[in-house]
Amino acid sequence: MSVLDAQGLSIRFGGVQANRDVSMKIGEWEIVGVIGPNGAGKTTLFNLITGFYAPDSGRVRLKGVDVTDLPVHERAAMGLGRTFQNVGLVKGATVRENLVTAQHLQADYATVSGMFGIGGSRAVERELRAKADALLDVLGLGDLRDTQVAGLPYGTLKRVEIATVLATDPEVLLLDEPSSGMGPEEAHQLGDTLLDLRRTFGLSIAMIEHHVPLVVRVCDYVYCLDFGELLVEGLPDDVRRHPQVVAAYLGEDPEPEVVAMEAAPESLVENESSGSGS
Amino acid sequence: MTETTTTDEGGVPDIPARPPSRGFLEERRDLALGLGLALAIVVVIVATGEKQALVIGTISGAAYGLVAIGLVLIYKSSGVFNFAQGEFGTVALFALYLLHFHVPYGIAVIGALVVALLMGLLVERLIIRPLFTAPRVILLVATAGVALLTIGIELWFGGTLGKNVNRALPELNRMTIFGLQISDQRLLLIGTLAVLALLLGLFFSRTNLGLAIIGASQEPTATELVGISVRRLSSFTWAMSAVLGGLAAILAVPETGSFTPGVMTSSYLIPAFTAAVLGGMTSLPGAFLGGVLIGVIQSIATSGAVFDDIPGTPSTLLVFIVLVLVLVIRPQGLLGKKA
Amino acid sequence: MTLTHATEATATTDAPSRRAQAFRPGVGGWIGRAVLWAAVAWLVLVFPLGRPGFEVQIYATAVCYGMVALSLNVLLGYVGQISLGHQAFVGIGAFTSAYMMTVQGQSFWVGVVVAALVGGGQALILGGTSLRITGLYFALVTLSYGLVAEQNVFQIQELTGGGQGQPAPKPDLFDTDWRYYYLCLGFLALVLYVDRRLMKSKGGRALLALRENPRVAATFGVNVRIATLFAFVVSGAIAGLAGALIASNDTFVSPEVWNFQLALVFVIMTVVGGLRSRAGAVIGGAFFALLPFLITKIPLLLRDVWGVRSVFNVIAEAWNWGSRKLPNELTPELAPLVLGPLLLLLTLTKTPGGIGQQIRPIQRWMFGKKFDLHDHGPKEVQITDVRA
Repeated sequence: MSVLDAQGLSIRFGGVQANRDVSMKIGEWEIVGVIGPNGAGKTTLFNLITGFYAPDSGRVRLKGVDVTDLPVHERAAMGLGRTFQNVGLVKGATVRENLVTAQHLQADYATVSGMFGIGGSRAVERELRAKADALLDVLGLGDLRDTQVAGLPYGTLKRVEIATVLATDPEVLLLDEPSSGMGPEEAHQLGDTLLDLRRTFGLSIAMIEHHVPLVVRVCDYVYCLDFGELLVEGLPDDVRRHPQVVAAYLGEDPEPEVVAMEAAPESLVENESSGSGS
Repeated sequence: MTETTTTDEGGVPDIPARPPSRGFLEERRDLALGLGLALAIVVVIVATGEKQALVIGTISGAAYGLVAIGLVLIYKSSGVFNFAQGEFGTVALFALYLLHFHVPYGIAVIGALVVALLMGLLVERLIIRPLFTAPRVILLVATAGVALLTIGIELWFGGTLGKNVNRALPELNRMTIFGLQISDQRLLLIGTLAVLALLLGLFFSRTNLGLAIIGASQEPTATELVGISVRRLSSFTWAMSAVLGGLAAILAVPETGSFTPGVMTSSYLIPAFTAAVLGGMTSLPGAFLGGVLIGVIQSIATSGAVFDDIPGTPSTLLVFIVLVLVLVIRPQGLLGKKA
Repeated sequence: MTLTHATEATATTDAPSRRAQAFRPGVGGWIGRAVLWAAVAWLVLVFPLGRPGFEVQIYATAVCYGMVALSLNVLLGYVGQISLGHQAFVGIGAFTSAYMMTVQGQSFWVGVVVAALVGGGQALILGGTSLRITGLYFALVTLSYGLVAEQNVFQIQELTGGGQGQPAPKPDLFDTDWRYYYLCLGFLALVLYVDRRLMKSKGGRALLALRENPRVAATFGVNVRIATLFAFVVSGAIAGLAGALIASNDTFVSPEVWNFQLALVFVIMTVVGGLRSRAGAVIGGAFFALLPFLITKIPLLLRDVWGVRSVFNVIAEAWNWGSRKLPNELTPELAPLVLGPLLLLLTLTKTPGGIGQQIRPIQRWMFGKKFDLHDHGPKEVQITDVRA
């Protein structure tokens, strides 16, 4: 059974059809890749799944439950976690504070009790801090506990963001370009981390990615979007060799067939007019 | 086609707060609905027999409309709620008062408008420019600070006694509608308002300068790249708004007798804002329409017996309720664009 | 870095380096801090004892204004929503308490509690209907609401005791100016405690997150709407409490003071005090309450704004301004109206963190940290400050 099942999602912004009839599934403990050129509607898809937008049509099912009408925070409570292209952190707080904030739903006391420091709130707070510290240590970020998020370098921010989203105790994780800003070695390590995390925390992951080697290495299944529609889906190797995918990306990760195409412009034009979606 | 992601300096994530409006046909439909609502309101008012209220309201509403136009102008061009808009008017009144002892009335009016213009430029240069990239609410607080400062200075230099200024036109009551006499001054006010609303509407949709101002408010970087100075546009807009504010005060207030420091803010600003919201903060003709409607609502509140039990000034409560209703039910107002 | 590698690495490099980073002041440092603490304590607790009653009343007002600033800080500083009608909350709190005591014959303590409840209740109703309205428009709604309070609510004869104002006696145990001052201090301490506890708990963290990044806060499971409403209610309750205290401080409440100008002064003193800084808010509020009083202490000459008046006189005489009066003095009542906005504009453009930001190095030092002029606190208050 799939933990996440998005069916036929469509949404239109003004004159622009950002997503048209896109369907995507994440199986239990799967890592699913979502690729496609810029502007293909990948982040919009994530926004629809997490609940920031309501689709014009289509449904989203999380662990078998139809969540299409639920607000974002309720989906989060059901175990849906998400990272953002722009790094979704509270910049004005420290790293540890971010992780503690992220455990909002696990803070097992009434807000009012927290205001007066009663009802076991202090004990729970200590627990939350300890959990945050443990998680930071596991990800090798322990030294940065009390550092302001605002000053940190981009790559570190991405790692802190992963720690933060893990603190929300998710079952399904949506990662929006986790490797952006990383070089090849870092991206490789990220891949290791993701595989480890899946094993350790029992996660199911979907990630928007541009870094093809990472996708091929880590993902069990890949969806390719273009112009808001699902172009191709399948196993990573099949998808990346698919002529339509190659045509859509043209220029990314060239292979011999692509190089040949570039050398013969006429056949290029032919391919575009016959291949790419509208 | 654009993916709906924009990067942001402040760490605000890449999701627009609301998806942009939904398409050509839907916009037209929305506008038609707005106009229909406006018409329905007028019909209801006339049907209730409150014809006199309609007339009185239109007249007083014209003043609100004129102030509202200034508000919408600044909002359209810089996204700021200008809380000092009223005080542009009061300052103009003070200038008019000081000048009219020494120069003919006409010159005094021009002088007063010049003073308002200068104040607009000053505010723009000293406060709006440094806070150009700040969140709009900070700017709102800043303009509120300007308003308070102006009122304080007015009280300091001017004392608390009311001052009298003559009206522009003599007290000839030329028109009579529904048994009410309407002075030339009031006709002038309404006429000015209507003409201005029309001209400004055309200005923003047809002229290069107008379009540039709109463009600058939405995409300042792109505008600069095209060679238009966003700073100069900003100065121009604020100067124009200040003049409008001054004009509103000069046309409307002398009728009512003496004026006191802060008069425009205490008596006109909130109704004008409500009028702008009612009409749609992005619509200039809407500001005109909204002004008239608020004026009518106010006069109904004052004259209608059903409101007698409300303590104090019933119109204040009614205007508040209208504001909340509009914002909750139809935030884009009658003629504004959705989101 | 894989998880297994990470755990190995941290195991070895861990504890000693972190412990070495903690700073401990030397003996001289401790003594210095103790002296400063003692001075502050003396100023707040001992100094007023020797002053005349009417002056202590002003100090009590300062304490209450500090509370108002804290209340507004919850809304403006923590959540980023602006209330331009906050004088309504405080004023209604004042009248409620007075009404409960005078008309309903209840004790001071009942009056205070009811005032706080009414303050929170107003916020609940107003916020419940209006909070989905964002920043700018919400400010407008609160401003309009303030006007309704001024022109409708405060005209209700029963509530306001007719034209004379509603009497509001002090409680029996604290019926002198000095004792009442300490009572206000006690309440301020309570509010400070609750504020601090709030920010250290999930409620406060949710607010800070949603102020800066409402989408991300939602993914943390924060119900943005409920959280904002909650903050508004807390803010309203504290404002109501402050109002009740102000009422009994003046021993009666009258409608005229609760106007739009006061609402702006409240906002200004909170911003000038420094958003998200408790100490800053209290200092900002106190400063504005004390301003008229301080102005009277400054000799007449200085008050003449250094020659502006004489210049104006010269010009006025040269031009013969007819029946115009010469400008008045900068009376104590006017001072906040003129100086306030100037300070506000200065704060917004030059020192966005307000007084709180300026005293942060001293604050840190007083709590045992190293004295460091660089602000390690959150970077600029401006950009992500208030949601529009």
